[in-house]
Amino acid sequence: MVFARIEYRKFGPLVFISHLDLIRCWERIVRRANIRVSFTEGFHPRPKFSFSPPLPVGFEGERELLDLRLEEPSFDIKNKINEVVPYGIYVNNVFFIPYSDIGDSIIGGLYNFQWLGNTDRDRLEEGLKAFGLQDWIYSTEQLVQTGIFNLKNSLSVPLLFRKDYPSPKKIVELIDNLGETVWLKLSRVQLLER
Amino acid sequence: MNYPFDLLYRVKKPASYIGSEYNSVRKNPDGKVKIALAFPDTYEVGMSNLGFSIIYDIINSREDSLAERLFAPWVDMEGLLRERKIPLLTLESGRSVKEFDILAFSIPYELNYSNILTILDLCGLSILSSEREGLPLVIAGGQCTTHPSPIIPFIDCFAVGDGEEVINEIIDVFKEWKSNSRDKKELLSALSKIEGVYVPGISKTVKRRIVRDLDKAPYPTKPLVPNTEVIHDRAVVEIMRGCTRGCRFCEAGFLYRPVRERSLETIKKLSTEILTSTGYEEIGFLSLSASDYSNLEGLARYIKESLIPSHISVSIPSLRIDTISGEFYEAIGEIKRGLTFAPEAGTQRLRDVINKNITEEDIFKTIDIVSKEGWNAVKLYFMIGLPTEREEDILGIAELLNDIKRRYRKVDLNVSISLFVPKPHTPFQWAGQITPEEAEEKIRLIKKNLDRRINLSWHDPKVSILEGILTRGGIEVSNAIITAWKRGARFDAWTDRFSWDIWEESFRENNIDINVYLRERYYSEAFPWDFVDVGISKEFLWNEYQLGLSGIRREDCRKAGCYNCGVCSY
Repeated sequence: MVFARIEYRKFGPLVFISHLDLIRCWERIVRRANIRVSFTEGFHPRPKFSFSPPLPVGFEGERELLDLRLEEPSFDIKNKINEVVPYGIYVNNVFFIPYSDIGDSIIGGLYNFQWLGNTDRDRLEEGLKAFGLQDWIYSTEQLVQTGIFNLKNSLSVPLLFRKDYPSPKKIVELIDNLGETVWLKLSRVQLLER
Repeated sequence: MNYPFDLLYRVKKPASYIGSEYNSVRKNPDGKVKIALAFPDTYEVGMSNLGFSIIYDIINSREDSLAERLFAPWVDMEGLLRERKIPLLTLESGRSVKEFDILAFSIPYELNYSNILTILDLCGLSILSSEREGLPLVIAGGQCTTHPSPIIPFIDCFAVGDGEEVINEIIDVFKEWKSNSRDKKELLSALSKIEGVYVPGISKTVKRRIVRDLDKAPYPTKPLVPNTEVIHDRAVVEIMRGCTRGCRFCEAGFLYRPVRERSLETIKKLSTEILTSTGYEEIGFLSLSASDYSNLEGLARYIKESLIPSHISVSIPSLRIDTISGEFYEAIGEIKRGLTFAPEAGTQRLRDVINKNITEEDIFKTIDIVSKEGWNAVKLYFMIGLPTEREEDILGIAELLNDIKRRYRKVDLNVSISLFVPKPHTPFQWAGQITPEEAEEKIRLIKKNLDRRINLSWHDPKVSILEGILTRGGIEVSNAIITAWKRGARFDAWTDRFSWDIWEESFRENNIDINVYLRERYYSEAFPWDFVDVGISKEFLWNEYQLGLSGIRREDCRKAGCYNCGVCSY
């Protein structure tokens, strides 16, 4: 048995598709690329996939993972796939592994939030503390342009997939509630492994 | 991305506005005829429309032209666009429609009319043709162009009938004009000379375009693969166009005549190419009546021998299960999703009136198959308000269903009731339409007499009334469309958006008496769609109407011989 571990980027327009859409999208990519993968049994056979935990809609994924169970090893998978992806998905790396353990090994992600707005740093800090978050990096930068939203803010915070951690959407809500916000970019910069 | 990130982040379905589908086409616009193709409903509906995808493909196959798409934005998106003063942008390049030469609508359904105005307005164009100067030229195609009067003031020119040939002729005329002139009147006058094109104010009549040889007609082999789920999320091959069963209420059954087929060889070739270029796991074979496809056996063999082994599932809408042999049941996706069947009327007498050639025996045969195969659910469609309908016909629906339930207790019956809407260019174009009150009474009667274990659902009768007025109305109805749109009418085909209050007020304000539009018409009465010649003679339609009223049914003309509807000599 061999698995191809695909490291890909989800970006641009495709940040707005849901996880279900993404699965459908990958099924079609694999068919177009003509890669021989194992299928599930039953009337509607589907390729055997396992994905890194879902990205919230709107979030870019800079290094997402997908394990594909292959019928036979195929060494030019990366090129085969990149020839048939829609703009918004791009494979950076493929390597082969004997087993798939995405479900167990990925325990969280490092998230980055970028927005324009005169955000009160103290209130942001308070909010993050209320979530029990300690490690985070916040920066703000004066943009040359004028207007009320002339401050560009950036927050990076590691979030574990555990009940005692807020979801990335909760952080978005927190910031939205601090005043008028114009979102520039939301992303999961990396996955955190055990 | 075409729209600012923050805007898309704040709408409910951002994936409808991102484009970037595999197989979508982006071209350098320099020197090309630039056409924005607009669909007046959501992305999910529009991306499932075959005509729209055919036209996109034909235009983009030409080196001298490009087509980009836009769809009606949902109300949350419309609100944000207005608030932030951003125009509606095409999905491919994110350009404003004002930079295009032609804005071409595809209009399959009357309840989309209010959305046409939304799109024009959000593109920064006046909603009235008379107030628009210069380009883009606004044209329209699709089923509604065979009775276009209520939308004439909004559109510069209509293309009636099959679009495969006429779109090329329109582009050619446009190119010729653009190299010589800037006078829009000259352009419209040149366009009016194309067969199938109707230019309000210039053309007197128009003849529907018919593509004679479907087998040779262009067909998109690299269709777009949406990134988010759409209504029909699969590969599609149109196997046949037109239907000669002659159901007297059915608009499509007359508007797409004559019957034209694609050969099995072509179907196989198209299927292979489309599945390869898209990676779809499902394919639909499209027609109005798949059971009448002359090589159904061959198609079934192809499905069984080539598609099923490659894990491709198949759907054949409009296939009657009692017409095919059992070994193919497993191959067809519909069955899994739940079989549908449309007896349309509850008694044999009324089925004869409407010429729906289904007998009680056929109905039971179908249910019997469902039961024996253990599929356990079937959806049945009926209409109320049909010509000559009496109380016993309404009770007949309940009796028939109760009878099925008695005999097949394990089969789940889901029943959908809709209101008959008389359609132009059909034998029933003269017929009357019942009022919402009458409809509610009939639905109550069915409900009262129906076995409680049968699931009954029905369409809002008021939606059908609106559809009736927008369908059989004249140019005067356009004022009510404008009023209703200004008051917030959007997506009238969507039950959660439809507001009868808005429309009722708008009709009243514009002196449109609803009852005038619902009434039965006289033999000699002129219709607002008389100037559109779809190839079916009015004499034939009247004769069919009379036969219908007398309860005389007629077999399919492909089996029983010609009835001189006129289309074959058209």
